[in-house]
Amino acid sequence: MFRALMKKQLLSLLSFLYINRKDGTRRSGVALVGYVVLFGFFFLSMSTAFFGIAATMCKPFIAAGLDWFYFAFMALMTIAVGIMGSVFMSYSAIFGAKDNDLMLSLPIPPGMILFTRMISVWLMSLLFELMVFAPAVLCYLIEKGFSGRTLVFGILLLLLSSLLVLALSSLLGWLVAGAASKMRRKNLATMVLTLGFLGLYYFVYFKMDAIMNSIVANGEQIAGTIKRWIYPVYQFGLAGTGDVAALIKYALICIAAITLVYALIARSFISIATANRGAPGAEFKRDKLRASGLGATLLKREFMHFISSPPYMLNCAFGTLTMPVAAVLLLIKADYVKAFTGIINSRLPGAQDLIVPVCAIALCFACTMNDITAPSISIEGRTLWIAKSLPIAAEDFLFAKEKMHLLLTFIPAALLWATLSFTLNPGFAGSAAMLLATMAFILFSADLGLALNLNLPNLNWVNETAAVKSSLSALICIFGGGAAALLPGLVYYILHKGGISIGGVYYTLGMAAFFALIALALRAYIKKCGPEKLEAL
Amino acid sequence: MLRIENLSKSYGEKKAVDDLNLRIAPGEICGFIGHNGAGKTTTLRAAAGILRFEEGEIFVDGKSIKTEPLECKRIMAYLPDNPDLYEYMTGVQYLNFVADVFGVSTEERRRAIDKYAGEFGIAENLGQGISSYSHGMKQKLALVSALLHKPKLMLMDEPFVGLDPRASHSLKEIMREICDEGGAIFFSTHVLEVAEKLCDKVAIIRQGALVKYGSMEEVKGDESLESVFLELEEEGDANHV
Repeated sequence: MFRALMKKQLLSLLSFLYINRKDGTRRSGVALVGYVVLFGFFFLSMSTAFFGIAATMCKPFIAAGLDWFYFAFMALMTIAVGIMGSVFMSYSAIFGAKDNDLMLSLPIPPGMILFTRMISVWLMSLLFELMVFAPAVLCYLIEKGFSGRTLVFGILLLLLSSLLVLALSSLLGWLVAGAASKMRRKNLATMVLTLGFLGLYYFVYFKMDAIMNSIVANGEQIAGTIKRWIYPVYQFGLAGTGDVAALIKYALICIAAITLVYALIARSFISIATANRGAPGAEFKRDKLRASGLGATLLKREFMHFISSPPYMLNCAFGTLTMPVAAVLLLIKADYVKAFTGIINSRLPGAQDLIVPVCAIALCFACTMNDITAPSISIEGRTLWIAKSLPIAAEDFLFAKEKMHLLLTFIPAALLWATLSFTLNPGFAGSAAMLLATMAFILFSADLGLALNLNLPNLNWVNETAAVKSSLSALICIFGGGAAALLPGLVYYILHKGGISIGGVYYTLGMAAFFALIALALRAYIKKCGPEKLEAL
Repeated sequence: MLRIENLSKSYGEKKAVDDLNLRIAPGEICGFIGHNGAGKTTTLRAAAGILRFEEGEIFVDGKSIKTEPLECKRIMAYLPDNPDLYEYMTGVQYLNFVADVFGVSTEERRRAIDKYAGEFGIAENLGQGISSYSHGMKQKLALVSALLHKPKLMLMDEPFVGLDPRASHSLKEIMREICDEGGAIFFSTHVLEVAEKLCDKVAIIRQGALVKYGSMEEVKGDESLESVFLELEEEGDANHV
């Protein structure tokens, strides 16, 4: 029974390699090899990056006689990466698995179902931990010279740490599953968590050098803190240097942690695994039944769909979030930006005239972060029959999607435009030209996405994320939109080289007219061909 | 109310519906029966204006579904066999959306929802997200939404699947009520006993072609609908061989 369950778990874990999720067909041998090579490349690239970090830390700490601290630091990193790599899986694989009801209906002890699911999470986390800890051990062996004892202890520490990681990520997954069964605003929580995670990632990424230097400079102080407050990590560090007693203590800690967590989860596994995933029932209020116009109700429906889907929000409306952030940063750094443009103006004659088109291009480029319309038809999926069976004109249905794109992009873009105008003061005509070019570009990108998705829809998806992320129309829209935003810059350069000089404001107005014309052509296409294309879906 | 003339629809090489003719008058309930893959859903989807068809014409209250689709859709309602509804909405939000599309007034929608949601026993669940609904609850919600604008013609694909006995009973009563008020209903079903008791007319389809069509008495005579259907199936199999 155990073997059968493990086989099922492994097949499910590796199915992405040989099954095409889009249409459920088996991948060809070439595609399979391609995937394996791609993952191998990813693994090696990440390992190389961690080797770089290990190399920075290894030498100074060995020189300071703090070998244990080097291992302790790398242990913290291994555990952090292992948890990051497996925590989402622990939730979906252990508690949110689609076959929970089926498995629990079979004569299998629930504890065994839980155990085999935890093993698949453990395998995944082990892969992530290997990516960090193998380069750490390799770096130490290079620095200190090869030692069989260090290698064996390294392997044992990796295996033991993977148990600790499994315990922590399973515990987190258990907490998330418990909270999710009670939470009403799950999408909002997912969105906030993802943005928080992204923010933290970028903060650490940009501050990595400073963090590393600070750790190297304050090594002894940090080592003291670890010794006092994070006992398991301290034991890990000591074990890394070959201390048998520390290895035994660390092993006991890891085994105790995983045993306790398993016992805790096993007690509530059935109730969480079979909990109703829907939001708790809200009371039906009769006064919520109010009439509104068709246009308003279609737009409202688009917004409801948008805010219900974190993948849609995060992948297709990132600009809605980042443009106001950029506007605020621009205000904070206004003096720096003014000084910088002042230097450019003083050194490059005629640069003053470039401010308006450059800012307009930058604004247009920022707007390409939003491709809301690009997967908007695909994400209708199996519910498209509703709009098709109701008396809704295809035009109204399609342009409600365009309206949402315009609203969610124009408002943040206008904020950024206002701060750019305030900071760089390009004059009334310059500001107006910038705004017109941005508005025309937003209209162009909204209609481009819609026209592309009408021609390249993907309505047969299992998970909405696939419709958003694997959308060919979204891909073309992002790259094509980006290229279109930069195109006026290239044309300006060519004209300039050819001795043709156009004033910045006039050029930007030309840009606005260009994008407006293409947008109108795309709108005309959607109006003419949209109903027929939609009917054919 | 519904006139289907020489309807043909192919999926690649396969002819799903072949030269189908059918006429349902106001006040009639017409049952549509046939084996799996016979062409029932294709016919219903074409009549609802969801599916394009190559040949033939479909008229709803005298208007062509091809040339005046919105006018046709305004007076009819379609219920699919598997109601995939907007899972990002609550029940009440979905009903509000459908009512807005049909321009149903606030008072009228409140009255209709009180009546039909009460009859189907989902009034208490309307505040919940549709994602938490069972198949039967989704089916009931889709039925309530279909009845909001008092349709003259209802097209339903297996409407009784997933409904509990009480809701099935309510639906049968509502169907009769609609037809008594001059509406018409065309629905597919595999439950022949229901079709026999409920329908004024019956259409039997086999491999895309209509093999028997008429009033219930004309079609079944002294036999049961089940016997007639099985005989036709056997005949069809024999001819096929």
